[in-house]
Amino acid sequence: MDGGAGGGGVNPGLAFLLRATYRGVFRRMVRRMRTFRGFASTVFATLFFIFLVGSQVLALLMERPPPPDHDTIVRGFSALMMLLLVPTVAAADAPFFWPAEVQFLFPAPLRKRELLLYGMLRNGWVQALSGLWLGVMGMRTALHPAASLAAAVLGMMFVFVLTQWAGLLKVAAADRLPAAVRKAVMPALGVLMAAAGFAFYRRAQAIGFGDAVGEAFASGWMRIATLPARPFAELYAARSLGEGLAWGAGSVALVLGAGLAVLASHVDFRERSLVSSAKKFERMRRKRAAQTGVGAATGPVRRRIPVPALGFLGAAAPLARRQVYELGRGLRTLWSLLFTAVVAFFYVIVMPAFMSDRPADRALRETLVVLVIVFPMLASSGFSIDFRRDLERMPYLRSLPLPPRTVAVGQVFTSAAMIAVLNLVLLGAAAAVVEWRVDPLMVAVAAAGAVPMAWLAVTLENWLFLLFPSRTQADGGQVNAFMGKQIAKMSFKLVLLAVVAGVAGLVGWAGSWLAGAWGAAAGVVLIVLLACAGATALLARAFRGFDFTVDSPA
Amino acid sequence: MIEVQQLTKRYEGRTAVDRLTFTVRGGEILGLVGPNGAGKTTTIRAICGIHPPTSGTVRVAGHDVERDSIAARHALALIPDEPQLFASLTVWEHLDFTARVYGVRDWQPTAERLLTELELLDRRDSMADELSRGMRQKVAVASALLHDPQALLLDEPLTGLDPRGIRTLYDALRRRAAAGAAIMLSSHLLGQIEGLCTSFLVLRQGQLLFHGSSEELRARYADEVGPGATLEDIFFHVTEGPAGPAESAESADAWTAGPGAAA
Repeated sequence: MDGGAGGGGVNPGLAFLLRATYRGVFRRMVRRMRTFRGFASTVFATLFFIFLVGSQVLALLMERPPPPDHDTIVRGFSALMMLLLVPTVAAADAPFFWPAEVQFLFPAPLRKRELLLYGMLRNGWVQALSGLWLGVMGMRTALHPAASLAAAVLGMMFVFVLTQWAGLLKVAAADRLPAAVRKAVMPALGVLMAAAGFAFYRRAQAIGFGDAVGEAFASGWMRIATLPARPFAELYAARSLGEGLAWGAGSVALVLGAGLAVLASHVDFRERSLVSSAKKFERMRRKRAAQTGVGAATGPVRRRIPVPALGFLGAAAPLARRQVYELGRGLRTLWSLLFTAVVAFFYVIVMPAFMSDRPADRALRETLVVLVIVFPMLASSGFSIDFRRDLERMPYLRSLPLPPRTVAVGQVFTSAAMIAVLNLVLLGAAAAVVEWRVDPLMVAVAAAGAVPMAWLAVTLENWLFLLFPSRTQADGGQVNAFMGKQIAKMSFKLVLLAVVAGVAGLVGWAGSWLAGAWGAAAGVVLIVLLACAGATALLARAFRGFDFTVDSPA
Repeated sequence: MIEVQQLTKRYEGRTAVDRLTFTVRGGEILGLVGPNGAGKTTTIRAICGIHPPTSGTVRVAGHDVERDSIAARHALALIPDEPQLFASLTVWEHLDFTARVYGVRDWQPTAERLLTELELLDRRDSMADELSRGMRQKVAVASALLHDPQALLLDEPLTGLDPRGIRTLYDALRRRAAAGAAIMLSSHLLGQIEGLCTSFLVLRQGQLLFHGSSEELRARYADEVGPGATLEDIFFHVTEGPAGPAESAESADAWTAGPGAAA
């Protein structure tokens, strides 16, 4: 009988699978390094990782500002952990299994408990690595670096295991509660959150934002709400070895307790896991294929939008129009672009204005130029109505009777145009925020650069994608490589844009020496336009050289 | 042997399978046919124990799939339509893993024989992500046959297989059936499975329209579609014809006892 009971330990087949999966990660890495491209990307990602970790360790060794006091660290860590825990648990679903696992493990003679244990062990090392990473990043704020590492690793594992348990409870509730009650839960939680947010807002109005935050952290209800995170926070803030060991033991006990609760549950999760995992994998596949955090259009066509003929693009127009139609298949992609715009605007314009002593007296100058560079940089990474969404269609695109450059222009035009338009809107909004106290020359430079910067960012993103495409395997392979690749790509793009900006700056300086301010602006725009043309040529070359039998295996 | 009694599966008010009753005996190869959304995959997954039935019972090799799940799963194997393999494992490691999960001893000679039959022996050390779709499907087939299942379920298994692969699979299935296994496969390629299956089960909107041998199927509808009609013609007639589910259920009653019972 399979009631989730019986059968201790890991099934021999599952133990073999875990070992083989871990081994396979290294085997694939070695195989990837046999090609120059794979070797270069692995070396680059490793160097980047060493740089990030090394900089933290060096900073720890060289300048060690006094860390905050114990209580502040505990409150801060608890709040951060709850910020991670609450949404993760709220969004918890039936345990996730990769398609290969569903195919091989679900019909196999395995107990539910064995599957759950396998799932936790399979993900355990990912959680541990994530925790290590967070621990390294937070070492400087902890009283002892080792405590930071231990607390972050155990904290991440706790969040993961608790999420598994919450998912199982949800499945159990879904089997027992009427549909009307289930549907009312999330709106009710939303209303509660909104009410709490409103109360905080009123309080912040009365006593100020900083004091309101401090008051909330010190309040009794916050202490109760953050109770599950307390042992991990105390471990993070441990002042002595004894204290660290004691809180460490408590944290381990919590993780194990949550794990045992998962294994002891009698919920039949397989059916729901099959459905939710298939949906999640499909979303993941689309996102990763598109190298985006939100994914491109995924649903059926719901609305028809009027699309201009785009005749000025010549033979590339049909491709560009097709991409516009894709936008009409769902607003999620556009919402994500708008979200990125808001984030860029907040960090580049709003936050510095708030932090400035006399924001109202200051005219916007170079900040405008920074905005038109930063926004396309961020937006082009996630907004992917271009080659990145069309990995599966590469054979079709290659079969078209069009020169590679025309295909390249048609593919990236929509993304670049959307980002460029928003870039100009942001520029106007920035000027409006400071009541039009802006430097005319900088506005001219920023406005002239908004369109080519968008083009450059999107084209470079696509070029890198065609050189280093990635896919999601049915067993989750490439997931970690994907993250490293994303970081490496963003860094590389930054370096390229910095080079372009540097050359443009030099030419601008020469222009100003020859023909004053407007000469400088003309020089900058000329260099950016040349860079755009060069990037487009590179993209066309990468498209022509894209071998889908290798880069996009069947 | 597979025994399905009054199997019903509902999702959020929608009935995917409605009071389905049939038996697949050892040596029988049953073709599960029906249009998209007929309930074929749900039926197969319910037999595997992945979808717990809303009501009714499923027994595989005498074991109740819900109450004696482990024993029932030991006796069955599933080959899905889309071969999803572990990218980090080689072909041989897939078989090694399967042998461990099912507790198969001395599996290596069987594995070598299966790989030879499926023309995969030279790829035994290839990792899954180096294989074509058809090869991946063959690995799924080899993994499913390794533990010598008494019940074999195949959901659209022909997709992606080349003609040689299809013939090899057919030969393997016939051998398994001759050895006493109960085999059930769903497919849209009626022309291709016609010569393989010894009986057919036609579903529409979760309801059983017909269950019997191909001869019985032809005899049953000869008057309506003509004596020279192909299986495909009969399939269209049965699933797209005017007969509603209630009327179909009546006509199906005579067939639910299994092939030969209502000739």
